[in-house]
Amino acid sequence: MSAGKENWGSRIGLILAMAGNAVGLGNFLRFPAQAIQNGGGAFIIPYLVCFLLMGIPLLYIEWSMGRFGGKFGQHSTPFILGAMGGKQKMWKYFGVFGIFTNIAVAAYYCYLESWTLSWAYHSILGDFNGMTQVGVQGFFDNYIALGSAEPIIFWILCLALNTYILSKGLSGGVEMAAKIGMPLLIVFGIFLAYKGYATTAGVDGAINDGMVGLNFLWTPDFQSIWSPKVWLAAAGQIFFTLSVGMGTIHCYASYMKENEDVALNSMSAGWMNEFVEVVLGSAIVIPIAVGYLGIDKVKELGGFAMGFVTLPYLFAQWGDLLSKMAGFMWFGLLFFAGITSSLAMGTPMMGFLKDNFKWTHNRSAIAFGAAVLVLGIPCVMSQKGFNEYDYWAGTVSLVVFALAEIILFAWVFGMEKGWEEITRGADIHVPNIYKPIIQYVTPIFLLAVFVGSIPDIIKNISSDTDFWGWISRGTLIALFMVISYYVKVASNNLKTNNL
Amino acid sequence: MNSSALVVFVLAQATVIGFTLFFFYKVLFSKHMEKHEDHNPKTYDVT
Repeated sequence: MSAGKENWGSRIGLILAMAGNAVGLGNFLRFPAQAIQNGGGAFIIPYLVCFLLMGIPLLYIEWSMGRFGGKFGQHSTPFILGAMGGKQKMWKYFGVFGIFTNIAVAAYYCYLESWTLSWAYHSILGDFNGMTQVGVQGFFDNYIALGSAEPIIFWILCLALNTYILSKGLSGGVEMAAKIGMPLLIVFGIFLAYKGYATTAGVDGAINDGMVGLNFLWTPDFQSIWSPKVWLAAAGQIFFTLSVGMGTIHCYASYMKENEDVALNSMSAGWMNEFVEVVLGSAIVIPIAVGYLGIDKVKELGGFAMGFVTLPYLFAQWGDLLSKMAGFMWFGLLFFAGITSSLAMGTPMMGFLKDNFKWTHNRSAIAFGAAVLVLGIPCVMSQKGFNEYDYWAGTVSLVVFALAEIILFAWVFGMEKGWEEITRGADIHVPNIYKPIIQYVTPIFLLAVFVGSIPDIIKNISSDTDFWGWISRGTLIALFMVISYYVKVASNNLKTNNL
Repeated sequence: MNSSALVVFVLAQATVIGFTLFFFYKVLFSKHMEKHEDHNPKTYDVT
């Protein structure tokens, strides 16, 4: 099957797949933790400002860049950026980030995703019932230390599932998964949010009402909005939550029709992600954890510890049946959030192989699964390896790529042509204010985020790590070079074919 | 919940729920809910 003949089955399928790409584990685990650390309720102010001035512009340009590339039969960022860069050939090498980031992030993300699958399995069996919190912590520690073969089995199962769904194609695989996964995620989320709100002191061992947790999360510290650190945290959260700067949005949008709307579709998917994050993500972990453990204990715990260690123990207080259901829903919800994102990470590499090397759909899906399996080994073996991937591919690369793409779109491709791309076929009026925002405000915002990250980048470059950390650094450099080489080969092939 | 937390909570939730429903309403009642068609890749110098 050639990439050029694939397309989305329905508009709602495209929006759900794009929203599924954006909704991930961070919506439920990272957002509430970031809010607590950065001013509580006041965090929502820089967060929404960053969404309006950085998130929405990046959504507009990535959707329209993807649709633009799709007109020429290109479905991965190197040649989408190449097409927009015209005679300036260097842009296709910036596009390498759009494949590199996805493979590298998928390498550790699929491992995390496999944890949710395993935890859902243990929840439905009732394995966490009767365990103390120390017992659940021990289970978690033993799991990540590879104390049994189970983490490897679930990891491989998860990779096989991703590969299988990807092999079914865009409409039959990715879109179908989003149409099933996203509604279930929202239903599970609403049930758990209700349980969070309904937590009552003195019932089932709770020491506080759910409202105490909400009060803790939403009480604003308005002084914090003057802190650059808070703005950097808000900008970072917007990056993570919208999956901008990755290349997945370009890839999905490249399968749209030439005159199909991007303005309304991108807003629907973007705001749906915000709904999941701000409405559901803030209503589950913190209210339940504060309800049972109190504010001081919750301050000590990170988002991931609360999600994987604390909640299974707390669910167990709700009785046998309800605890199994709640555990299955919570980890099922995280699994759906994870898999709809990891599937998106597979599509840019597959599009690149199919477009430029005429690989079949199945072959490119298997190649993605195999690449993630091999590249994931350092992340499975060591926390340091995991951290290296997360920092370089999952953090720094996003900002570099987003900065490059907005300069290309607004200043090289040209804002007039760019605006025409955003508004062509639009089902809503795109406010004209976004023209100067895209041209001036968002690049300055991104530059500030990048400059603000430089001290951290320098610190990370000069920091020592363990064996697997060094393997990870070497692997990431090698991966970037290999993709760049194949972009060069594909570019030469295209030149030959054009001649 | 204290009053300042309540105000921020209500405004944040109302903004996000409002915009989400508004855009989904626009999608569901748009004229362009038809099935997608194949597009024809054009040749273009992307090298």
